Amino acid sequence: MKRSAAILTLIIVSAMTQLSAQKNEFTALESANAELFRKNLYEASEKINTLECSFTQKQNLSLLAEEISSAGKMTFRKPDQLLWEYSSPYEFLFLMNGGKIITRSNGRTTTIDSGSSPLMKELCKIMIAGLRGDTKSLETSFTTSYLSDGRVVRISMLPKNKSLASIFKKIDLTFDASTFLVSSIEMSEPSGDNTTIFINNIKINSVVNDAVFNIH
Amino acid sequence: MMRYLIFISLASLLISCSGKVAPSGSATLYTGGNASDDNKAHFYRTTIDFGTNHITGLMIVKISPDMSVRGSFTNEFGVKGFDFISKEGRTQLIYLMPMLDKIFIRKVLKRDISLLSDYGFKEIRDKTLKEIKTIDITGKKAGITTSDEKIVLEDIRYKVKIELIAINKDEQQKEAIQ
Repeated sequence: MKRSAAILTLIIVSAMTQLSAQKNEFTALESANAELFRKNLYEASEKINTLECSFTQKQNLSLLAEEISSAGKMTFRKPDQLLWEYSSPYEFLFLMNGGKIITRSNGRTTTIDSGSSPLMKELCKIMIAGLRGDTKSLETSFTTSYLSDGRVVRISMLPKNKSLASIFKKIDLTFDASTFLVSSIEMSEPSGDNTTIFINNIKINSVVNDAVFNIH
Repeated sequence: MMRYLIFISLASLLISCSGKVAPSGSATLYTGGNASDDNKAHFYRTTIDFGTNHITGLMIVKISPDMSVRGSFTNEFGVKGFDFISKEGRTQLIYLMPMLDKIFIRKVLKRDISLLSDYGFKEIRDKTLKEIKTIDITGKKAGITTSDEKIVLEDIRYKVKIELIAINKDEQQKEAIQ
């Protein structure tokens, strides 16, 4: 079922964006095709119980005309456990575990309750929903549009509320049209800077032990 | 003040930082030179402590031939906290996340960046500096210690400590690719 849905989506996406693909440009999917992709993506995301991947993060600093690169790995387990570890060029750990957020930097650990800040709670929700491709959850906070270049589908998200809009001008999530897995997350800031996180080596539904999230 | 500290703590901990362009009506203090005029970028792993609050992130700094210092501070997730240009003891915040954009925070931030720029970044720029050097800025109630890899500012007046540890960008790029 998943395979046939993926093939159907690929055919439609490819057909509707043939011209744009030749020019390597993104064009908007027609509403029926966007809805089909959205439905398939959601169904695929519902089947994700665990997700492990590595990532490379690149940030462009407009003032300095410089790029910062960092890398690490992420581990997600349903419903709301997310471990985000940077290993290069520095070590930094971020863990969402239920209602708690734990960070560790330079050997120092900090714990806070995500419920203490509505904005932080919202951001945690977005991080998990974005990684899983849970568009239903994302659409409560963003106005979304669906684009494709014939190879991938991009969900372009504009914040609905003022708090989020002050942090993000736009977030683009890019998905492989055949696997429905996220391949990159691009965050554009009001300042003009942008950060792109490239997701690699994704493993779905492998066994993730409790010990992974047992950080204090 | 406590309210501001909580703001900073929450804002910097996660992606809950945000940005704001300085009002167009604000005076331009320094042009700072173009990026192409600059020497290499200096990358620092940064920790800021004030009271019981603790912030971590990255500071990237460039020193222009006219000795103006330009820099950005971002959290680990890549969301920018602030941009600055500093010269001759004066600092302009080009960009500041709205949650930090409070009069008191602006004041302390500008003061500490000015101190770092005048007594820290320019000292460490001298590649011959191999020994630890401590400067007691008595009039400002602050002190700065620099070595070839580290800058520590202790702002006694406002109880702020900023520690910057140099990151080798070449190594950074290499490791990120791997």
